[in-house]
Amino acid sequence: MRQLPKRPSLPGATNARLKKESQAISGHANSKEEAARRYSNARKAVWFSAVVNALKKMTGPGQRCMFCSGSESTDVEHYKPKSVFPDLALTWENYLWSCTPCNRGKGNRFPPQTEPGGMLVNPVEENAWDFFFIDEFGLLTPVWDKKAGTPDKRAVSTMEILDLNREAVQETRLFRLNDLKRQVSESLALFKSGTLSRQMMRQRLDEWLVQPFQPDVADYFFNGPGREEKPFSEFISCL
Amino acid sequence: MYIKSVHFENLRGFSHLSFDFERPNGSFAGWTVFVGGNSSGKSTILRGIALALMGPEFGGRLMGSTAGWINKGQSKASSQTKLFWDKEHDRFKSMGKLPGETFDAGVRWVIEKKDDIPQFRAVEKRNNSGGRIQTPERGPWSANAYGWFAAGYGPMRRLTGSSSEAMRFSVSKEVDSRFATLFREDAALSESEEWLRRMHARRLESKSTDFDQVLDGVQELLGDGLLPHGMKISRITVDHVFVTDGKGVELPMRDISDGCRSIYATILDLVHGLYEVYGVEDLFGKDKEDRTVVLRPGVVIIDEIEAHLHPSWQRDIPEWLKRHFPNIQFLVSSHSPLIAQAADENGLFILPLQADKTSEPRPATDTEFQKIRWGTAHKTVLGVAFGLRSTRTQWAAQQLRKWQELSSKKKQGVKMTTGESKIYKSLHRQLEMALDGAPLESL
Repeated sequence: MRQLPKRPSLPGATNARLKKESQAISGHANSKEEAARRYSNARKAVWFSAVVNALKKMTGPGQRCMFCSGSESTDVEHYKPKSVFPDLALTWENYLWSCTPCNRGKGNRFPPQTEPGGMLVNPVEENAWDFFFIDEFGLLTPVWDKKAGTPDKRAVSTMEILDLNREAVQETRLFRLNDLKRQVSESLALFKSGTLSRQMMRQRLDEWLVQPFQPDVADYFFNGPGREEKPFSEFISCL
Repeated sequence: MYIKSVHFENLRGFSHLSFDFERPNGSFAGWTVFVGGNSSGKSTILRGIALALMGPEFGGRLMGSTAGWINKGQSKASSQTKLFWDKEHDRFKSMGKLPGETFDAGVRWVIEKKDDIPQFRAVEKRNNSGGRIQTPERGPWSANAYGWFAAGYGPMRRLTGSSSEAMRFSVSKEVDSRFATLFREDAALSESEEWLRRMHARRLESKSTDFDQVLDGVQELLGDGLLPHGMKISRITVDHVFVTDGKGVELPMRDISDGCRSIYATILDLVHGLYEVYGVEDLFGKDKEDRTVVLRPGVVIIDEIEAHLHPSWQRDIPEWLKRHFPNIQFLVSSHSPLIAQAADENGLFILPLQADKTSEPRPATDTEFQKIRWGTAHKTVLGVAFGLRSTRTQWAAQQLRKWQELSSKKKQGVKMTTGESKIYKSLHRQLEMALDGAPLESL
């Protein structure tokens, strides 16, 4: 998870087409089958590339998965599964971009909506860092819910459903974290000795932020609550 | 002979399966691996191929019961192969029209009357005038057609301890003797050591240099870095085959470790089989680096080749086999990433787990193959071919969850009990040691 840009609006023609498809689905007797059929056709159609491109743009460099930020994502993900919500199979607001392991883990599961938005955190509509923090071992960890006296329930279920600390991802996260710590400390030392200008420090930060390598780590420690932690806090105070 | 492709219909768990084994450069020799979880059908693939290679007569003998081979609810099943042959090494028994580069050899199971057990037959092919084409019957399935080497080994590859019933297969010189362990857990590979000692006895009696060629060849082959710790065959006597280890201690082959014995037995059996099929002529040769290698072609099937082997051996054995049997097509199944990593091009096939109803058996994509070929064992296990989400134990995963809970509490500034505080500190200390994210060389 990481903070993602706001969902842009689609070209008018694409919106119109999505609306038309959705109407056809909800008007159909077997809307579940119709949704699967229409979505599968749309996914192959030329007009749908506007949707894909908009999602890729939101996802950022390297197209890291909106959920785990680990692997390169390859497909459109329905936040609410189309088999359970056929009316939302061709709805722009229901689309995310995710990798195969997350997609497979999620499958058709969408836990009961005991709270608005269900038990799955939506990385586009919600702020990832309201739900998670990244610890020193690269574990994406649910924040503590003081009122309930437990870890945040939606964060926990999101972490479990998507297996957001699966070994491959946790290890990359830890690797990126240690890599950033090292580079940040090095830059600080160079800045203090006068070798590195403030301008160059900012340049470095910009580069780190666009690197398509477990970008949730850079987002958390430069744009999220992690900026309060050493050595990131010190680095930011020098900018 | 090589297997160009295999096609199953309704065979055990497989409703359809089609694999093509030709490599991009048109060759077949080398390392082809089937990976998949327990009961994903790896043994079925190997046995299905073996039965098509042996034909209904010899195959039927080894298979035993025909029950259970047909996919549930179906009345027939088949295993069909396309075989690639060459005139130099494979001959047909009778005169007659020779097939082209490849021909079909297949077997089928069919329930003819309800509640009967299935019949096991050849897949029949007919020519334009309606006559039966009996190509495999005149070639690979014939008891006395020259060539057509194929052998198969099951996971229990022992040197001794064959049951008397299984002995029947091991001592026959026909093709089913070379597949006995693939179908029967009670079969042993004792016959080959017997053969070696017999060859030795004959050498003493005879003036022919054939026996020298065989015995020297075997000794050089098995002495070329196969056995660990510098073990070599030191001498062959009428009673025993002896090895010496790096320290010069000599002991009978049957007293060495399980892993060594299993590999030794398999390779000796392979050489023995090739000798029975092709004779000593052109059996051994030298490669560019002047190593003794076995030159004859054929198909060798090995189920769970990694059984009893230390990881370092698992890593090295495929390359040893490829180097020393450069013209053999190895079809192996494995649970080991180290074995899979040795796959040659178009040589990696992924079988979905039984619980996974949506995926089909398939060849690895080129990207998947390259990742595995260049990869480390850890990454391969976590990758698509093996599909593990974690190599950690459940215990470790639970500790991590406990740690997450406490660290979350601490981060929010919520007061921990004395007990929690203690656990927090202890886990932190352990994780710092275990999950330091340090590069691998610090292991």
